[in-house]
Amino acid sequence: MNNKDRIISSIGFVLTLVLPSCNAGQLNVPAFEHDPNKRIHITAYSGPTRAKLVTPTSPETLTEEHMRKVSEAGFTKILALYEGAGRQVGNDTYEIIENLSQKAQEDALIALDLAEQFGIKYYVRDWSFYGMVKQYADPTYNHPAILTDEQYDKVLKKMFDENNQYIHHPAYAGNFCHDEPFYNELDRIAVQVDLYQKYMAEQNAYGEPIVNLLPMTAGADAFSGHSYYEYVDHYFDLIAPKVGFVSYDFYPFREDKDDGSYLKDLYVPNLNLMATKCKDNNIDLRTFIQAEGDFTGTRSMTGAADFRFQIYTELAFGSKEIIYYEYANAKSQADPEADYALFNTETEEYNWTYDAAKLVNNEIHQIEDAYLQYKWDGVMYKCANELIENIGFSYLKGEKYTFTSHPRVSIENCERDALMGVFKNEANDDAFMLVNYTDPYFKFNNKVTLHFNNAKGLLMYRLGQKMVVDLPSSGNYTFDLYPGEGRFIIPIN
Amino acid sequence: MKKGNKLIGTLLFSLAMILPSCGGTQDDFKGTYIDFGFLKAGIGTEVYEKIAEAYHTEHPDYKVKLHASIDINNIAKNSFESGKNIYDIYSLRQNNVITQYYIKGYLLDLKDVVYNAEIADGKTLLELCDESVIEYSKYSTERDGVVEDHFVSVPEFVNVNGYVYNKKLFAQHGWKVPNTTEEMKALCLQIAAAGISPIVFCSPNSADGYVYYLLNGINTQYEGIQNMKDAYKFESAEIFNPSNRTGKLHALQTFKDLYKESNGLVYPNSINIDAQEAQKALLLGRAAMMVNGSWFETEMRKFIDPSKHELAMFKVPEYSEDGEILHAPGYTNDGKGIIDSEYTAEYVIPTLAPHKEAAIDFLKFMQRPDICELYTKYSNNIRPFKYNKNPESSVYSNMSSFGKTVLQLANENTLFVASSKHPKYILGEISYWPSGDSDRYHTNRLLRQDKEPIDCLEVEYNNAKKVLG
Repeated sequence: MNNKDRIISSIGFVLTLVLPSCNAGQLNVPAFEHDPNKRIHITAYSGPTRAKLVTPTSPETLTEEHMRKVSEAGFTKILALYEGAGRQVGNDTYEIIENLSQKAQEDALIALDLAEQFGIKYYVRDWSFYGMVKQYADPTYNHPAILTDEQYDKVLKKMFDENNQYIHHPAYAGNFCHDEPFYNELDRIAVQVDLYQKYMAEQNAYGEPIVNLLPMTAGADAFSGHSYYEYVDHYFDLIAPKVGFVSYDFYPFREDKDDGSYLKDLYVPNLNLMATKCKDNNIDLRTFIQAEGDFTGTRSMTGAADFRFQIYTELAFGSKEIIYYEYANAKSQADPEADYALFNTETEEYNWTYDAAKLVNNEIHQIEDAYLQYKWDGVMYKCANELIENIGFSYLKGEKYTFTSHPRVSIENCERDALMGVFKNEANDDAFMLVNYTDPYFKFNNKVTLHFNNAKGLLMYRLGQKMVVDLPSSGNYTFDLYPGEGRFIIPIN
Repeated sequence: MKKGNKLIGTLLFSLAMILPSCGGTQDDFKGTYIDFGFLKAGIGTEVYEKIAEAYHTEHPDYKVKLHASIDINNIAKNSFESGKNIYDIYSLRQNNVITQYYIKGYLLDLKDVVYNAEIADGKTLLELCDESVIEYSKYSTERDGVVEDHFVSVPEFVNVNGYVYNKKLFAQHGWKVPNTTEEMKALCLQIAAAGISPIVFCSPNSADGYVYYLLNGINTQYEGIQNMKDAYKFESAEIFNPSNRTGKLHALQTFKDLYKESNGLVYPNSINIDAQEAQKALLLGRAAMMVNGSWFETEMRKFIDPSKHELAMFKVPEYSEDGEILHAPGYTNDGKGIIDSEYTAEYVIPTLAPHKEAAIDFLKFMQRPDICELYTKYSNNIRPFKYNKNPESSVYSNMSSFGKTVLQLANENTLFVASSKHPKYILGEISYWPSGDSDRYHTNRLLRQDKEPIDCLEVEYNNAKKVLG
C-alpha cells in the first residue's frame, strides 16, 4: 500500500465511523442508563482457592492479585468449588457437619473479604451443606444418616444460626446447595432449601441456595424412569418458586474424530425448554458454558468464538447469568486428559482462554444495560439450506414461543443457519439477538439478511460496540456475522 | 472478467440456484422416505448405504434416509420423551435403557411383526436367531398369573473382540498366537526382547478403553456359560462376594501383570492416549497387540497399507496355571470356545414412527440371510443370526484377512452375550462390573492407584450389598 492509498483508506475509515452517527441524528436512539445493580452476571465456577486443596502441592491463590484478575476478566460472581473442603472429624454426623462447617466458614471469610474488594459476589461451598441429601442419606453410612425433616432442621438451624459469620458479609451471594441432582433427590432438596431460607430469614440475612440441574443429555439412570421433561417440571413445582431461577449445565461442543468438532443437537431444545418454563413461571434462566475440554469427549476451546457462540446463543434464549465451567483447575491424577481451565491453580499461570474469556465477557457487559431492559419473548430460526436438516432447530417447530413470523422482522436469507432471540420491553418495543448458529470450530462467517417493518434504523451492539445505522427503504439489512457472533439489535424510528 | 464470461457465470449461478428447487428434494423421488437414525461410529456408514440401496432396489417406492449422528442415543431419548422428530427406525445402544423405553411405551413390540414373521424360506426370525438374542431382547410381563413375552429390539451386531495384531510382523519374528494367559505373558517377554512394545491400549476415557474385553474374556472363559447366566440374575449380593468371583480375580490380576507400565510390557503412556493414537501405534509397528473389536479395520482403513499390514485377531487367552487351563466349578460351554461378546447396537421401532409399516418391512429385510451377508461383507461384523459365516465362501472373497479371522472366530466360538432383566439392572443400579464402567473403574484403581484386585472386588461387594441387600 502506498501513501496515497493509505490516506484514502484512512479517510474511508473515518467516514465509516462518522457517517452512521451523522445519520443517527435523525433517528430516535434510546438511551439505556447504567444501573450497577443490573448486570448480566458472569460467574466463575471454581475461583482462586486455598493452598493444598486442589492438589497436595497447590499454592494459596486466594490472593488480591488473583481476585483482581477474576474481576478484570468481567466475572461478577464466584461459585466456590474447593474451599470449604475439610476432613470428616467427629463422633457422630452432627459433630462431623459442625467441624466441616467451621472449616468452610474460615475459608469463606477469606474469600468473601477479597471478593468484596473487587465488587464480586461469592457463593460459599460448605461441603457439609452441599449435596447433603446425598452424602448423609446412605443407610450404610458409618454414622447416623440424616434423612428426616427433623434431622435436616437440627443441622440447618445450627449451620445458619447467629454464630454464622459469613451470611451477613456484603459479598455473600448464597450457598452452593446441590449440583446435578437426580429426580429422586429433588424432594429432599426442596426441604433443604426451605430450611435454609427459614433460618437465613431468622438471621435477617439473604442468600441463594444454588441448585444446578442436569442437562437433557444426562443418562436415563438419573431420572428413575421419568423423562427429562418430568424432571424439569418437578424442579419447577418444588424448587423454582422458592429460589426464583433455574440453572443447568449443557456443554455443546464435542470432539468428533472425523470432523474435529460436533455441535450437540440438543443444545437448542434444552435451552428452549428451560426458556419456555422460565417465561411461563416468571423465573430467571441461568446457563453454563464450557470453558475447557475433558475426558468425556467435550472438546477443547479453539478461540474466543467458542465463548461468544455459547454466550450469545444462551442470551438469545433470555439467559440472565452465564456460568463458566470452569475458571480454575489443576490437572488431577483422576482426569489427566482434562484441559487447564482459564487459571491453573497449580502453577498460577493464566491460559490463553483467560484472555479470550476476558475479551468476550467485557463485550457482554457492554450490552447489559440494553439487554436487561427486555424480556425474552421467543425465538426464530432459519436454516441456510432447507434440505439440510438442523436437528436442533427442528425441535423448535410448533413450540409455544417459536415465531414462524413476526410483525417487525423476518429472516430473509442466511449463508448458514441463523438463530434469533425475540425480546420485548415494558413499552412493548422489540429487540432481537441474532446469532451465527454454526460451530465456531469451522470458522464460518454468516451473512444474514433481515427485513424490518416499521423501522428507519437499527441500534445494535457488535462485539460490545454500540452502532446506529439507517435502514434503506427496502427495510432489508445484511449482517456479516463472525464465527460465534451474536448481534443485539433494536429497531428504531 | 470479460462480458461473455460474466454472462456465462451469471447463467451458471442462476442454474445452480434453480436446479435444487426444481427437484423439490434431493432428487426426483416421489415415494416414501424411511428415516433411519444410527450412531456415527467406527463401523462407518458404507454398510448402511449398501443396505439402503439394496432395499430401494427391491422396493422402488421407498428410500431409506440415513441420519448418522454421534449423539443419536440422546436425540432418540429426547424425541421419544417429547414426541417430536421421531424417525421410523433407530439403531441404539444400551439395552437397559432400551428396555426402559419399551416399558414407557415408546417402542413397538416386535414379537409378532418381526420375530414371529417369516423372514426367508418359510423361517421366522425366532427360528433364525442365536439363542442369546431371545434372552436379550425379550421382556416378560405377568398379568393375573399369565406371563407374556415381548420383544423390544433386534440386536444389530455381536461384537467379536480379541487381540488385533499384524500377521506380517508376527511372521517376521516367528511369534505364535497365545492360547493361555501364561503363553501370553511369555509372548510379551519375547516381543519386548525384540524392542517392540508387546501391548498398546488406550485411556479408559477414550472409546471406553477397550480393556474390559480382556477382563470379560478371561473371566467368562473361566466361569463358563451357566455360571455367567446365573450371575446375571443378580439374585443376591453374594454373587459379588470375592470368594465366589475367582474368575474376576484372575482377570484383574492378569490385567495388572500385563498392563502396569512399570512391568515394561505396554506401549509408553498408553493409559493417557486416545484410541486412534493407540491404534496407530499398532499399525506403525511400535506395538504388537491391542485388544479391540471387529470394527478396527473399518475405523483405521485410511492408515492401513496392505504392503505392510495383514491384520488379524485372536481371542483373549484363557486363564492358566502351570500350563493347565483352569475353570470354575460348574463351568459349562456349548462344546466350543467362548468369546464374551456384546450386542453393540439394537434396532428399535418407535410406537410413533411416522411410517411404521414400512419400518417393519425394512427391519425384516435387514434380517434376511442375504442381507446379513451384505452387512458382514461391508462391516466385518457378525449378525447374531443363522446365515453363511464361512470365511471361504465366495460372498466374502473380497474380504480382508482381518474380516475373515473375525468370521473364523465367530464360527469357532460361542459368542456369549450376558443379559439381565432384573429391575435394578434395567434402572442401571446394578451391573456385573461396577457402574457398567469396569474399564475406567479398574484401570484407575489397579494402574493409577496401584490397588490390588481383591480391593476392587471388596468395593464391588460392598456396593452390591447396598443395592441388593
